[in-house]
Amino acid sequence: MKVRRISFKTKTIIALEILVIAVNVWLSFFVWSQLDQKVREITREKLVAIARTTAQFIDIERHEKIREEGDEESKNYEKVHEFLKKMIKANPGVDDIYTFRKTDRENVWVYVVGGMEEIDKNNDGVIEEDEEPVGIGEEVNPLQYPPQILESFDRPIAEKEINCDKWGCWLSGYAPIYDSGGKAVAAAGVDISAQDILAFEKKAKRAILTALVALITLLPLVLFFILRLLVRPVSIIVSGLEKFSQNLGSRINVRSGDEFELIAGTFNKMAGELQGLYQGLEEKVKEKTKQLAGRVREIEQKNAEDQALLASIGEGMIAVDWNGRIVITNNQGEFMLGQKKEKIIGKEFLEAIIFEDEKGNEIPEPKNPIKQTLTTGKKATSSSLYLSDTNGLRFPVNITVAPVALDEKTIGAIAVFRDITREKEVDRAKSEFVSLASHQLLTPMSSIKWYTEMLLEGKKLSKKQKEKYLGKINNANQRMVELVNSLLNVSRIEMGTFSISVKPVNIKEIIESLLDELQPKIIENGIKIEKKYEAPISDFKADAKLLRMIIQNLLSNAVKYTPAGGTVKIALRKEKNLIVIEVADTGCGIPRSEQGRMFTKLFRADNIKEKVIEGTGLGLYIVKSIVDHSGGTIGFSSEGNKGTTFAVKFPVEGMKEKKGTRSLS
Amino acid sequence: MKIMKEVKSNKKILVVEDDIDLCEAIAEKFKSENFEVFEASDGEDGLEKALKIRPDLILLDLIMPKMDGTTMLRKLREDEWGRLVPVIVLTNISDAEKLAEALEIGVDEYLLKAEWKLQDIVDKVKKILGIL
Repeated sequence: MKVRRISFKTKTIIALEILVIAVNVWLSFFVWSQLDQKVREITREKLVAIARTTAQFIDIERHEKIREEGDEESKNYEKVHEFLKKMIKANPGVDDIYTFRKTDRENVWVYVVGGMEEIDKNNDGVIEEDEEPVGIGEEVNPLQYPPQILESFDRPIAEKEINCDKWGCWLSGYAPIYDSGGKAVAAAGVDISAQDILAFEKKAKRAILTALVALITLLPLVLFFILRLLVRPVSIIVSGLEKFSQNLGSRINVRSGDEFELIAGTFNKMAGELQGLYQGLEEKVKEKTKQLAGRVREIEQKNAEDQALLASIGEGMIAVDWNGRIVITNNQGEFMLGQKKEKIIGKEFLEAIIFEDEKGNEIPEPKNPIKQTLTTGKKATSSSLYLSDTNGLRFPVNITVAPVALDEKTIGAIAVFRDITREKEVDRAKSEFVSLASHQLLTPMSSIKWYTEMLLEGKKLSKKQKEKYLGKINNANQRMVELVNSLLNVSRIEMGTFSISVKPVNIKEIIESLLDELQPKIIENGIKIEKKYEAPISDFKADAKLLRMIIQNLLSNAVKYTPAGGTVKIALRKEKNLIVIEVADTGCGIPRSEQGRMFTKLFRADNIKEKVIEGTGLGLYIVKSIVDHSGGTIGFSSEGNKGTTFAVKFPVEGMKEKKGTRSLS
Repeated sequence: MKIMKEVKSNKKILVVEDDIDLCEAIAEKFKSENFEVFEASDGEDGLEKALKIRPDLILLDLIMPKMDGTTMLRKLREDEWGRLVPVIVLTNISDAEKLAEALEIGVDEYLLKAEWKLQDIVDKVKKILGIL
């Protein structure tokens, strides 16, 4: 809505000025049109006044005695003439004052006395007729004059129009002269020349007009200032409003004592309320803004924490949008994918990440777990995919992809993946172990199966053969029992559940007892035993059972792997603050290449596998585990075909106690 | 007319097995079935004996020290004669991959020791050799 910006003030002033000027103009025209008449009126009145005065003060007795020509010389005429002259002199501007009377002839009047002197008007030295004053008895026809003369005997009256006679142009005024009886016997006439009249009228007109013009000019001006003053409150109010829009504290000060003051007052009240309201609001906003800022800070902090969290988690993470474009990734992801964040973000995941199968072939798109999740909206996992890192090395990953849903639509996916090389190795080791263990169990089982078969067949077996077969079955069974026990021990060791309970034991006694047990084997293998007890410690704090297992294993190994005629030396001594149990043999030794794996599960060195069937490959693993858990150390030195020496060392204080749920068998 | 009695020459079997007891059991069984039995306890020995003796059939274990069964088999098959000799894998492993390897190289049969009776093994051998 466009607002014509002409101020109220201006509008008002212009309107009123126009009005005033219009009125002035009309007034001027009116006055102008009446002016002539009015001025004439003034003149006429003046004439009449002079005529009346003359008529009043003229000596009527003397005047009536002047009747005919010749009377000019009389005293009466002189006196009246004198009087008239005085009257003329007393009224400057008057050209002539004279008298006249009626005759008994109709419309024939006669002059009586004239006040004018003879004047050589044209300065030619001769007094012409028109330069002569009016003479007694000179006839005058009133009809030749303006009609007002006809009433000159009735009342004072002045001509309306300028008239001209043989003497010139005049305007005359008349007044009746009364005798003592109240009868109008003559009339006085006053003449003012037209020139004078016109000059006078001109002057008068000029004066009036000047006044008029001044009025016309000044009036609007004065009006203007008055209006401005009256309208000032409007300006004050307007500027006050403008100021208010900048500063709510400003108010309008109008003391005009009228409606404007009322408006201003009302406005001020409203302004006050608004200001108060606004301040209150401002405070509320400030408060809320503070709260908001606090909240934003919280969120930002949480965000930063989340970011830090995200950046730091040990698993690789990428998130993709519904178009499969990578949206974010974390540091670990960057590292595992072998690409910088900046390079990956925005790229399609199918391009950026290459998954391979075990054989090194790129997996087809339908098999891509990220693709699957995006398509089906369901979680997808895989442990059989491989990635290549920055160096081009392949490594297996476990990847889990979860959908990101919004309003039941899949808008993206988050994939978390980690390097499972270790786990796969462990898995492989486990399955190898299981294979090996089951193989080790199946072998004696096959043995039992076949020998039993042959025995049951019954055909032509000698007693010796039967005994042999039963012996083999028995051995096989024993092997299985040992293996199962060892496996159980291994399991307990792996789970860390076995217990070590210490009390004082006699190491020498244990060794002796074991040697007794092994006696048959020792004799069978033709082994010589040498003992050296330098420190026959009788109160070594240990778990008797476990200590026995350790020494039994070392001794039986030494005997098992030493060919006939060999020697097994057992030593028990003290080294500084350690107890040392040493078992040395002159057996087939351990090849250098096999020495590293001596203590691993199910390991049996190649050089003894063919020579000695019996052996689970678990013994040393169990021994080492026990030694490690109980605070001791075990080591060996060996040379192929020369022999091996094993040494177990414990602190003098004894074995370390350990709480557990089971004991090893 | 001289009626010639067909002299059945005994078939030669080579048993390559590292477990002595099992090896003996197989040997005794086949001997009692009138086979001539040769034994080897590792792949190296087994290969040598196989190429030398040229048995009619080889019973081969896979898990052995020095040289395992699969390697021996591969080397055997490189030989002109070895390419054709029937081989039965006797094993206890259930590792499909190892088995598959051996089968790829070319065996006539594989038997799980723990599941097969000696008699059944004998019957199988006879079948492969076309005896009875």
